[in-house]
Parts: sequence; C-alpha cells; structure tokens
Amino acid sequence: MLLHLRNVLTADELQTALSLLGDEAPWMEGRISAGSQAATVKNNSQLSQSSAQAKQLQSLILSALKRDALFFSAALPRKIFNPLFNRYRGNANHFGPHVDGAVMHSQATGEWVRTDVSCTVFLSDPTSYDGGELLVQDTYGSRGVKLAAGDAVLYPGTSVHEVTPVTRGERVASFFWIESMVRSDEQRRTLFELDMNLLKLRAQLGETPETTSLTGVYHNLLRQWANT
Amino acid sequence: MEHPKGTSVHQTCSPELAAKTPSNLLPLAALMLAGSMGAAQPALAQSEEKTLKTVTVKDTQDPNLSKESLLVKQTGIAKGNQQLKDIPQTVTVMTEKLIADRNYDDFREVLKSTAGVTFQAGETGEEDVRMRGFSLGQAGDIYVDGLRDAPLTERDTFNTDRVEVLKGSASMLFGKGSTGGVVNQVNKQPFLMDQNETNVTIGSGQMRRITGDFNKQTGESSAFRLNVMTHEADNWGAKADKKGIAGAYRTGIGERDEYSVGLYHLETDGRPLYNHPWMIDNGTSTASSNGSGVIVPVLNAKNYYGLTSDYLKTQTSYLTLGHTHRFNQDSALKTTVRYGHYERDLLASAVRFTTATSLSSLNGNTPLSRSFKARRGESDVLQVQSDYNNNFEWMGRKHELIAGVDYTQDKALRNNSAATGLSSAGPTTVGTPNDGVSITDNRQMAMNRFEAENLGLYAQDTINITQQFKVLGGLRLDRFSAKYRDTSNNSFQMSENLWSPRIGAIWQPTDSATYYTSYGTSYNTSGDTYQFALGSYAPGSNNAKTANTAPEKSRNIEVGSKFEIFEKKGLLGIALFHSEKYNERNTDADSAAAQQLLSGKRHATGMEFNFAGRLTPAWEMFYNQTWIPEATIDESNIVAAGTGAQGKGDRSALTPKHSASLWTTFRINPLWRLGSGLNYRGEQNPDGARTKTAAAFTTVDAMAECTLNDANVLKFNISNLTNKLYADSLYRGFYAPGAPRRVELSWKSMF
Repeated sequence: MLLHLRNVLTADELQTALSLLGDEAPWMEGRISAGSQAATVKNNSQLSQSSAQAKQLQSLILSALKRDALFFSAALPRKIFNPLFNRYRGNANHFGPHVDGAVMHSQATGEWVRTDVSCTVFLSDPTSYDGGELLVQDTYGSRGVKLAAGDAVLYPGTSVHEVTPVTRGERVASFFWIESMVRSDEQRRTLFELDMNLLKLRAQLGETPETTSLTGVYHNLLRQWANT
Repeated sequence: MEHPKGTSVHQTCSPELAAKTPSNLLPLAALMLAGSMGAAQPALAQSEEKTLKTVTVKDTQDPNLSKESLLVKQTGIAKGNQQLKDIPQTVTVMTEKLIADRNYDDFREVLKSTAGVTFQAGETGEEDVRMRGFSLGQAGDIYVDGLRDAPLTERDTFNTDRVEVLKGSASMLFGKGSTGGVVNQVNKQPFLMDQNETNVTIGSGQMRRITGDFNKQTGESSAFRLNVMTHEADNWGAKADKKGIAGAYRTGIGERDEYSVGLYHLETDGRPLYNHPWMIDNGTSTASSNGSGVIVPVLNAKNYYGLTSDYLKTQTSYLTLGHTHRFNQDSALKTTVRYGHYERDLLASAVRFTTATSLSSLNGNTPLSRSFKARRGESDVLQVQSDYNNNFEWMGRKHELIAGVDYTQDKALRNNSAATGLSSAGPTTVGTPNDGVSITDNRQMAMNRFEAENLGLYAQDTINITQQFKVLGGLRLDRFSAKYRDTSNNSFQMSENLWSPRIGAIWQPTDSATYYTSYGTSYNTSGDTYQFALGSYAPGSNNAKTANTAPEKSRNIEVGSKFEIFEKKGLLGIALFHSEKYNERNTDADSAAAQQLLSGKRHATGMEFNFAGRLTPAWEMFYNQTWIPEATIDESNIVAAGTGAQGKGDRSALTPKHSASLWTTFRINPLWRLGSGLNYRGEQNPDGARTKTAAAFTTVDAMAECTLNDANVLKFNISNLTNKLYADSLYRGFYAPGAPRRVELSWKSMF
C-alpha cells in the first residue's frame, strides 16, 4: 500500500526544517548509511546523524508524526527509526533502484528496527526542482511520487524503489523506517481500510450497534495479527 | 485527485484512503494511543478531551533561526503569527545573527542599522528616536513581545531574539502612537532542545562583557531558558555598567494548551556623555560656535566632560505570564499578562563654550561651562492582552480573522527637571576631559504624578477573494484616560475615544511575489509616555493647555512589493509611502504656548528598500534604505524665518533625504567568515534650528570570524573603522557625537 499523508508538517515546522538543512548543515556522502548493494547505486548527501541539527529535526519530524492519526492507523508503529535527512542536487543527485535493508541499526537509540514500512517526508517545494521522483515498484507496478513540501508518503519496505536524478534545484527530504505491530503489508492494509471506513460510518451514522460490533472486529483482527 | 502544481502521484492510492479524517473523530488505531480501548465506550471517540492532540504547532519561529540567519520570514509584529510577505507594510527585521555579527549590545545601536531612524539629543536628557522624522520614543512606540516597553529606559540586547520594525501608521494594531512606525523587541523563548552558548567580549574603552544563553529541554513539551549578562566599560569617562538576567519556562509547547512564565531584570549604571558643543561653518574662513551653516563636530568623540558624580541609572523588572489555547489547527486564543516596574534616574552635565569661540582660536585651554540636567521617572505598568485568531471558510471564501482586547495601566511619578538644589561644579577646559570633579548630591525631589489607562478592542479580517487576491480590513477602538497631578496638587484629567481603521489589498500572483497597498491611521494623545509639560498644572497654565489638547492624527498610505529571490533564501521589499500628520501640535516646551491649536500639518513621502538573506551559500546580506525626497511642514503658525524653529514650507527636522544600512558577510572557507557594513545618514537639520545643518556621514564596520571547531568561535570586530567624527544625535544648540572607533574581540563557546 502506498499512502499519501498531507500536511504532516505545518508551514512553520517546514520553514524551521529547511532553515536547519541549509548549506551550513553538516552534509556527508550518503553511501555511509547504505548496505553494500545499495551503496553502488546511492549518490546523494546525508545529514550527519550526530549533529545538533539532526537531533532537533528528528524531534520535529517525530512530534509531527505523533499528531498524524492517519500515519498511526496506516503504519501501526511499534518502533520508529530515528528520521534521517538527505539531499539530492548537483552531482550527488540520485539513488538508483534498491531495496532497503530488512533490519536497520539505529545509531540514536541503539535499537534494531525491522523495516516493514518506509516513509519519506518531502521538504523541498516540488516546483523548485526537476526530477527527484520517488519511484516505488510494488505488486501494482511502478509509481512516481513527488509531493508538496510537508507531505509524506508511506510505502512497503519490501518494494524496490529509487529516486530519479535531480536535474535542477535541490531536493531535501526526511526518510526513515517503521517497524509495525503488524508485519504483513496486506494485513496492515486490511486493518487500515476497515479503520477508515468505520470512521466514515461513525461520522455518518453516529455510534450504532453495528459500528460498535465492527469496532470489535477491528480489534480482534489486530489481536490476532499484532506483535507488541 | 487534484494536486498542487508540481506535485504528482501517478496512479494515486484510492481517494477514500487519502481522505483526511473527519475532525471530531479519530481512527481506532489512533484511539489506542489515547488509552481508550474497547467497544464498550464508543462515546469516547466523540469526547473532545479524550482525543489525541492533533493541533498544529503555531509557535513563534524556531529560536535558532534568528541565531543563524539574517532573514526570518515570519513575524508576530502585526498580531498573530504571519509571513512577512503577507503584511501590507514595510517590515525590517534585525535578527540575533545580525545583532551578534555587528556586536550590538545596546538597543540604540540596533536601531541605527535601520534606515529612516534619527536621534534627537537633549531635551533635559530626554533623547528621542525618530522614524521618517516622526517621534518614536516619545510616543511610546517601542515594544517588547508586542507589549509596550517602558517609556524611557536603557535597553540591552542580551535577551533579544530579534528586533522588528514596522514602518508607517499602525494604530489599528497598537493603539496610540505609531506615526513613524513601531519597534518591537522579541525576547528569546525556550525551545525543545538542549543548547548553551556563552560569549566573552573585550574591547576598546576597557569594555568587558559576558553573556550566557542556556536552553534546557525539561520534558517532552517543556523547556527552560536562561539568559544572563554582565557588562563593564570605562569608555574614557562615560562609563557603563550593566547587569541582566532573564529566565523563561514554557510547557505544552505546540500542544493544545501552552503556558509560559518569564522574569526579566536589567540594571544599568553609567555616566552619560550628554553632549558636545559644536562649531558652525558658515562658509567663511572662521567657523564659530553660533550662527547659520554646517555643524562641525570639533571635540574628540572619546572626550567626556561630565563629572564623576554624573550618572544614568535605570532598572527594568517585569514578570510575564502567557497562555495559548489552540482550538484546532486554525484557531487559537493567546493571552499575555505583564507587570513591570521601571525606573530611570539621570544626572548629566550639559557642556557649552562659555565665550563665542572660533575654530581658529580653539585650543586646549578653551573653557567649557557645565550645567546640570536631571530627570527622574518611575513607572508601574500592567498590561493584559488577548488575541484570537481563526482561519475559516465562510460563504465559499477563506477568512483570516484576528481580534483582540488589550488593557494598559501606567502609573508614573516624574520629575522632568530635577536639577534644583545642586551646587555648580565649575567649568573645565577642552584639554582636560574626564577631569575627575564630583559634587555631593543631596537633592530633595518632588514628583508629578501621571496615571493613564487604555482599553483597546480590535478586529481585522483578511478575505481571500481569489487564490491570489486578498483584501483586509480592520478597526480598533481605544478608550484612553489620563490624570495628572503636580507637586502643588493642581490636577487635570482627560479622556478620549479613538477609532483607528486599516485597509489593505494583497495580490500574490506567484508563490514568491507579493504586491500590496495599504492605508492606516494613527494618533498621538497628549498623554504620551513622554509629556513635555513640566512643572505646574495650574488652571490656565501652558501645561494644562497642552494636556487639554486633543490627539494629533496621522495617516500612512503605502504601495509596495515583496519578492522571495535567490531560491527563496532572500526577501526583497520595495515600497512607496506617504506619511502625513494632519493636525499637529508642536510638542516642544519652548513653543508650546503657540502650538496648541492642532493646526499643524506635515508629511513625508518616499521609498523604502529592504533586503535580507542569502545570495549564495556563502554570501549573506542585510540592506535597508530609506529615501525621503520630500518631507515638508505644510501648515504651521510658525513663520519660516530667522534661525529658530522650522516653519511652514521648511523641510522637517531630523529627516535626511537618504539613509541606509548595509551588512554583508562572506564565508571564505569553513574556518573564516568576513563581514563588512556601512551606516549612512544624509544631511539633516536639528529640530528647532532651521538654519543649522548636520553633514551627511558614513561609518564603516568590519568583522572577521574564525570558527575553530563546532564549539568555539572567535570574532574580531571594528566599528567606525575610519574613526569618523560625526554628529549622531542633534539638539537645537548642541549634538552628541557618534561612538569613536572601537575594536572588540569575542569568544563564543557552544555546548
């Protein structure tokens, strides 16, 4: 499932993030966070994880995600990898097709995180750069994603994906992974659909015996599938 | 599905999945976070208290931004929190980075880097700041965090995040005052991070300054910030000694309910360099100390001719409580209460040539007379301010509503001429500055009482007519009342009801271009923070007449544009303005008797140019220029003649045609950053001396900064590089010189 989350960051937060990700920020070669197979195709810059900017940006992104009910419903997060930040421009402008490592070790928390769901938060104004599309290949074929600044996309970690070369301007984004309580993409999608449609039913009809019962179904499925 | 221009999701996910959740319900998954589980409590989903906090952080901008950039794009100066480009008036913002780069520790220095600002000296030690020739300080147009600052006091930058200047009439936002504009100092706010900084500076005039800025995150959404400062300098006699501490705690940052509490305390104890006497170059070979012509500063700017017993002592202490309630992403109610106690006590020496002196005969033995100027004032100010903002859709149009109420109570004790009872210290000579003479001060001082209250109500709506075109309209009502009582128990009362409208239109054809026009009004009551009326309020006296005069009114029309350039890293503003005071009383004690008719009229028409930001990754610039080709007194019952006050047809005093300020820095490599700046003020006439002209001047500043590592930065500053001797603030009979060349070395450490 590929899900577009709108306005994850407010205009203020976005401005803060962009100001912290200026040229003075400690950018490094992106290869350092890539596994051996991905390293051959990764050509971008990444923000030093230990910098003050990174710490502040991480808490900014995480607190924004915590506000986002859709994010929670779709990802059912158990652990969230500390958000990373990358930049594509000039000669360091693309990241060829790759699959994210199945398990990532987070420097910040020292934890291992299984990468069930990948998330990219777009930070640059999409009109300010050409190229830089996130191409995700999943079971439905390949899709290109290029979202408004402050929006985010969730997609399965299992998919092959790439970032096409940036031919003008610069593309700055935050990316990270979520280990979900529900490991399977299909199960997560089913739960999300059930949750969203129940939400609409409750909004249309109020609380009825049927919505209450279906709420029970949701939780029973989650009980079967979730690992906490 | 529609997407904003430039975004695309080919083969989007099904629309019902991407739909935003209805606002009053939350998905089941999210409810788990709220701890409400189970089908047995379906009602929980609808109860407001139990839902997750899905409010947006509508916070003042990140404090670090002002530390790191010459450009900020947001401001709270026009109430609420707006993009600079959405304000249809000229706004110049001087960030902490600019203030730190240029080593400004005094608020007046910061103001000097704003074009259009000039300084009035004297008036019994009551200096004033003018903007576009209109009073700023005397009218109480200096604010802290959007609340009125003390009328007259010394100010330091140790707790300043940025200084914002809104130019032109804005009584709809601020109530009385604001003819030339307003200046708002924004205090540093706690933020969610651990960050500490200390700064040690040594410099010319035996200056030693230490500041500390410590921010600690104390919880998930709470933080504490402490700023401290100690500053000592002997300044060749005009010594300065300042100490300050400011602490603030915020909790619930970005959440539904945010609370803050802050304490600020500043004490200053210095000796003021009150004035220097001038020579006047009248075009003949012998410049003398009187007559008409160009003012020639002759005495070294370092020279202090006052006594060691002279002093300027001020104290500022205030407590601030704040609460923000966010109803949802688009609406909030912000309430601030501040109670402050302010004291200022001045005893200074006005220095004059005792005999008519010519430039050729001036030498070290030339005598200088010294006479005392003294003034004392205390204020207790209570302010309560509540601002509501809401963005909503109505009849198919987007509205941005701001509305609020504010209350100010000012209880003051004043003695504007407090030199009675002092024995003279005798004369000195040009060649013996800082001669160490002192006197014993055993004055008994009686104080005039002044009490003022103001209640204001305002509302403004910005309506999006189309995606690109907005119109705004606002109206404010103030009820102002004041009471005076002199030392002989004569008293006087006044009250006014005043309406202030504001209208504007904004066209934003693209994301990075704004064109605007606006019209606003302002007024000045005779109960201004600084009333010229000294002494007696006996019925029929001039003071009573002055106090009895209705408010002056002004209007400002502006047409301008703001562009985001250099990949939105720079903001350029160009504006054409016409500021007009159309019923002026002359607030000048010397001619108050003749000027209580509100028959006066003056205007200033010109242009403003503003740029702040980054041209390339390494090159940053701040530029501000004001060009006022026309500034005229249109109506006055003073005839333009002789050497005295400006009359009808004269150019307004303290209004140079050109003034500009530039600061630019360039990073050569990771180790070195170099900076340079210019301040320019064109020629101007002192108020009340129409035939005397202060020459134009340019001062040059330079900086070299060496970043040793992530934690340590050394910085070397030279201000007034050419040691230019110039008349900085002007009075009709004398001037005060601008600071001489100063060299400063600072070490900043971050941990």
